[in-house]
Formats: sequence, C-alpha cells, structure tokens
Amino acid sequence: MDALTALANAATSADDALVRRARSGDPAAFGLLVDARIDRCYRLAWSILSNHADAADATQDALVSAWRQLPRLRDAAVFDGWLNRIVANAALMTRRHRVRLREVSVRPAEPGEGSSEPEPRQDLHARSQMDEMVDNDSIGRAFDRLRPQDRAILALHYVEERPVAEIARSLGIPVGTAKWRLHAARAALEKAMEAEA
Amino acid sequence: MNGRTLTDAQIASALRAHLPEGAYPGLRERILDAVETTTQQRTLPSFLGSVNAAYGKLAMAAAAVLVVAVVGYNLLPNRGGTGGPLASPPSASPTPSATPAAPAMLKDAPHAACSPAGGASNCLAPGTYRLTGNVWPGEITMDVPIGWFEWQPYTWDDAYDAVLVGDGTNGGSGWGVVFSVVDAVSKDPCDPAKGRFGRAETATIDQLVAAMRSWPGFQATVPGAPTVVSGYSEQLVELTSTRNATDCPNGSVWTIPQGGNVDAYPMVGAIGKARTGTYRIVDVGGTLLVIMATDFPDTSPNELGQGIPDDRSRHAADQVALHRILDSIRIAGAPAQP
Repeated sequence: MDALTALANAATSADDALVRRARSGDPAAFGLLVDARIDRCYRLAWSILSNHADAADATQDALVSAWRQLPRLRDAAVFDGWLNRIVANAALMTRRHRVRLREVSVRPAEPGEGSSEPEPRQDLHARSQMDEMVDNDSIGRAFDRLRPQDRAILALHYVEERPVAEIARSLGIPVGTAKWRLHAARAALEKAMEAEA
Repeated sequence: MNGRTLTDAQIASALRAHLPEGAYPGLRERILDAVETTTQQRTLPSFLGSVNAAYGKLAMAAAAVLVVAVVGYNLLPNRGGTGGPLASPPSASPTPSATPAAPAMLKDAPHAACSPAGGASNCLAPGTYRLTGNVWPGEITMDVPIGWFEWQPYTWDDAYDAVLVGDGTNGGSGWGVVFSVVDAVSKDPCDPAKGRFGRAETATIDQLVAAMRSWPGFQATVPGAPTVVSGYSEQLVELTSTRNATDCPNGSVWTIPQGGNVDAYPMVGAIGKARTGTYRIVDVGGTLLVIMATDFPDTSPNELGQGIPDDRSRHAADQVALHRILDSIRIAGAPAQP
C-alpha cells in the first residue's frame, strides 16, 4: 500500500512539474499532458455532443484554449479539474451553436434500432453476454436522451472515475451540489431507462 | 432490466461500452500544431483566473469582480478608440465615429501602468473593450479608464466577467463591475439544499426581482421605475443582507448558463462587513444580463479581509470612474426584441 501511495504521489508530482513547465511556455511538456488526457477529454466532449466530428473540434478548441490560459492557472494540482471544465464548456458551446445536435440527443430510440435484438443463443454464458449487450445498449440509448450536463457528470464519475471534488471543480459548483447533481443524473438515467422499456 | 435500479457497475460498464475509447489518430497532432502557433496569455496577474479559488474562495475572488455597465448602444453615438487603447482616459462625453469596429475583448487588451505616475504595469490599457467570450446576449462594450483590471472567475467561455479597480495583486480590490448571465436562480443563496427556481419562474425582470425579494436574510430594494438601456428594459435593484461569511460561506445567487456560480458578494462579506450590491438587470431579448456594481465609497469586504483598514472614502474617487464605465456600456448585435 505504501508503495502504491508512493507511486501515486510520484505520478502526481511529475504531472505537477509538467504543468509548471507547460505554464512557463514549454510546448513539449504540454504535449505530454495532452498525451495522457486527450482520450478522456474527447470522451467528455463526446458525452455532451454525441458526435465524433464535433467532439474532436471541441477537444481541439479546449486544449488550445487551455494552453493559452495556462499561465493563469496558479495551482498546478488542480489542472485536471480546470481542464475538464474548459472541455465541458467548449462542448456545451459547440452544442449550443448546432441545434441539430439537440434534435439528435433527444430523439427517442426507435424500436429495433441498433443491435438491441441479437440472435437467440442457447448456452447460459452466451445468454448472459447477450443480456449484458442489451442492457448496455439500453443504458447507452437512455444516456443519449439525458441533458448534456447530466451526461457529462455521469461520464466523469462512472467512466473517468474522477473524484467528486474534482468533478465539482470541473463544473464550477460546490462539492455538495456535485453530489446532488450526480444523484439527480443517475435518477434521470434510470427514468430514461423506463422510457426505453 | 428496465424499470429497476441500476448498479454502479452496470452504469460504468454500459457507459464504457457506449462512449468512444478515445480520440481518433491525428487529433493529437492537430492540437499540438495549433498549440505551436498559439501564444500563451501571460500578462494578467497571477491572481486572475485562479481556478483553485473556485468555490470556497469565490467570495473573496468576487471581490475582484469586474463590473461592466451596459448602456444603450442603440441610443448613444459611437465612440472612437474601439478595439484598442485610448490615448487618454475615456470621458463621459461620447465622440461620434463613422466607422464602428468590433472592439477587442478584455482578455486581449494590452496592459499598461495602473496610474499616470507609473507603478504596477499590469492594468488594462485605457480603451474601449468588449466582454471576454462569445457567450453574451449581444456584443457588450465599455470604456475602461486607467487603473483597472479584468477578473474572471472561470474561463474565457463563461458568461461571467468583471472589471475591477486596482492591479489585481494581493487578492484584488473586490471593487468594480461584474457581468453575469442568469441561468438558474437560487431559492436561498446561502443554502444549496433548497435548490433553484425553475427557469420559467425567473425568466423576466419582475420574476427575478421577486425571487431576490424572497431570499432569506436578504433585502432587495427597487429604488425606481424600470428604465430603457440600449433599447432594452433595465431595472435597478439594491441588495443587502444580514447573512455573514459564517452562515453563508459559499453563497450563490444564481448560476450562469455554463454552470458556474455567481456568489453573494459583497452582500455577504468575507469578515462580516457586508456592503450593498447594486444590480442592474437588463432583459436582452429574453436573456437576463445582470450588471452588479460595488457602488459604495467604503473599503470593500475583500480588502477588509486582507487587513486593509476600514475607510469610508477609500473608493470615493473610484466611484466617479465606475459611473463612467457604467455610462459607457453598450449592447450591439443583440437578438431582436419580441
């Protein structure tokens, strides 16, 4: 446990050093920070936009904006929450400007859409896998019908496994509000699942 | 499984399967190419934009809130000097201009000495600027005199921006003009557990004023009838509070559309010396823009929190500049009114 803690601390310290180097204008250091975070940023943008091209654009806008604003970030330790916030804002702004995305995101799933009706299987293991696929597909469709803010907080918590304090910082809200919003987003997902039935 | 409670594992598994694994090849290079040609902004004081101040310290940061007044673009003649520094501090008298150009955003403003005598050189160069970000209801511009700085609590893409007096160092002055767009209004600025009003309940000026009047421990006074600014209806509201930093440590009057909170400063002071916040609520084509000004001569709560002595006339001269800023505010290109 001590070794793991030491490893985690070392990683954090190395990241802080990279942030400080990038903050002082070192693009190579910023490139390393991007390498470690671009997939996460992209998934966060996609969770809000549900569209690959727009998610890529929003990710690019956000990371370039982060580079530009980095000298204004005083505490390197809060870099991830700060970056998530920029990504979420970029995605929300992109979405606002592209009404068609709103139509896509709230479009109810049509019966038989996607891969929700796989061929019947006989063995229990296959049956279990099929159930999981159906469940995943239903949850995914329900997720797409949520508000972008709800999708973002669910993605940060369940996929990226970010601490609630960092999520709060990412969204610019108190920790208590972040917990409440997470609870509300989960409830909304379950409600949307009912609509999928 | 429909209709039953989902487990954490089910949600995590489904969302991992649903969301893309990562960015497509080539996006990294696209971004780093763009970074190579992008200059970092490093002219603002380190105090500004410090996101680690985000919530617990927001009240103090809000002390540095930039207040920008919005004054009838449609009613006032254009002024010269847009898009860059003025040769001299702006006056209240408008100068006609035949070719209005889009002024630079505050974030792109050149920096200059904070007083004619020199001193710190990290204030905004005097000039006409527009609020930072393309998120505002219309293009909101103002004339910034010598000795002020921009303060933003979050990012450039938030509808929350401020111009404060001073150079922004040592915690900032917490005295100036703050702009925000209203999204979800708190039922109690000091108790997040009470939730927010529905957006339809606070969609008009009258509804927002009614909500402010309902806040426990706050007193909202409407000193006069609505006026018209840049063709848009505006209502002045003076807000005071008996709450203090102990029972309202993370005050939030409303959120902005991007999700950040607008705090309860200066009504809830950092050390119990609260002041009156002067709110100008403007209905810009259905969007409520609020211009909050610390229009009092006293030492600000933020300054008191830094140990600066309480002085009843510390900002008396600054109030003249503040009123000039407020009078210079214009809104252009806003949505058509119904």
